[in-house]
Amino acid sequence: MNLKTDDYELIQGFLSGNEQSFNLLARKYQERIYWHARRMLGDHDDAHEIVQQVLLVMHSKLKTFNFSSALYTWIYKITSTRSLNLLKKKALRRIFTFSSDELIENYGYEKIVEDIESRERFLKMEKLLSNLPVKQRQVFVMRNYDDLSYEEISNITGKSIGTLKANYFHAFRKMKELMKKNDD
Amino acid sequence: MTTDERIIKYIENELSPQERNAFEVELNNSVELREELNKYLKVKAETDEIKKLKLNPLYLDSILPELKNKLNPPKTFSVKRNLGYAFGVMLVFILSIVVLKNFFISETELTDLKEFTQSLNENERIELLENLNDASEVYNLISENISESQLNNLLAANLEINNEVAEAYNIEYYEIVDDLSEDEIEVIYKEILNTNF
Repeated sequence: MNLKTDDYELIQGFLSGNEQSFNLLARKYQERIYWHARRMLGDHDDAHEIVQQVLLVMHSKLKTFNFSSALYTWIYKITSTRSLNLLKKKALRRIFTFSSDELIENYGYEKIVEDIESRERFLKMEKLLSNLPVKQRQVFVMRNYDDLSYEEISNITGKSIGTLKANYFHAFRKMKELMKKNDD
Repeated sequence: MTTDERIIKYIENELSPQERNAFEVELNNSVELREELNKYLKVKAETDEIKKLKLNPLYLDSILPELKNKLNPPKTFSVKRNLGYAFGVMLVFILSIVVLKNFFISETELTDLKEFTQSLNENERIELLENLNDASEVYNLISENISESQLNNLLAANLEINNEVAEAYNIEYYEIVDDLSEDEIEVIYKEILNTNF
């Protein structure tokens, strides 16, 4: 049984009234949703909020899912859109409150990663990622962390593969420079 | 194609076989290119390490219960809604009190009136009648011809009193007059004038 068939059966189960099927779907995707949102937003509370929002959307809209794409593509689309919207909201808030553009030091990492060494690594990369422009960060995260192909990213974001490759190139180069700067 | 582009394409496996071979030959001969490649590979390596991180199971276990609460929120105390209810209950209560008060007190007020008029001395009664109509002839008529008992009966029979005056035990008699309507005063005045003492 492949991943897609598995999802199909769980969705059918949920739509026929089996709430346990939804629980299994949520458990299957919640971690991926969290990490994508976390890498985009750089904040635990925001990522947590996105997880809740996406699962709520799944719960209410799964009946409209038509299986024309893989479920995870649909979920990434929701997660990505919600994350970008939240980033825009936060940017607007920063403008109107005249606060700093710096990443707010609210990582919440102690709640999610137990190993101290991993935490430090994670925080370092998170800070570097936060320096990328949003579009570059999005494609970098999807390529390197979520292991999505350009075709899948294009399907999710609606951008052409050429544009995505250009953004990825700039993101990768900038990450290399930032890491070098950080190490020096 | 710039060096950065070639390195990234090499890492991403996007070079053609010929381009790849040429790049690897150059890599063997160029320290700078190897250093640049290593910088990119370091980013990749760090990314791969971070990718292995697993979320704390306790946190993961907390996600679904929170979602279920959002899907089926427990009934919570709503200040706004309950203030509305409280206001409604209070309004009904106050209206009930007013209606009951009017219903029960109006029965007793007329008997209270008789007691009230009886409690007045003669001068007070005369003053009351003077106030009813500022006519000296009435004063004279009453002061000369009316007995105390007659006046009591007259006042008790004719004074129709409204609800506020029902509480007249604690007020002066002229305050009752202030509360009488024009029609009530007219009735009393005519009654006095027509009375055969």
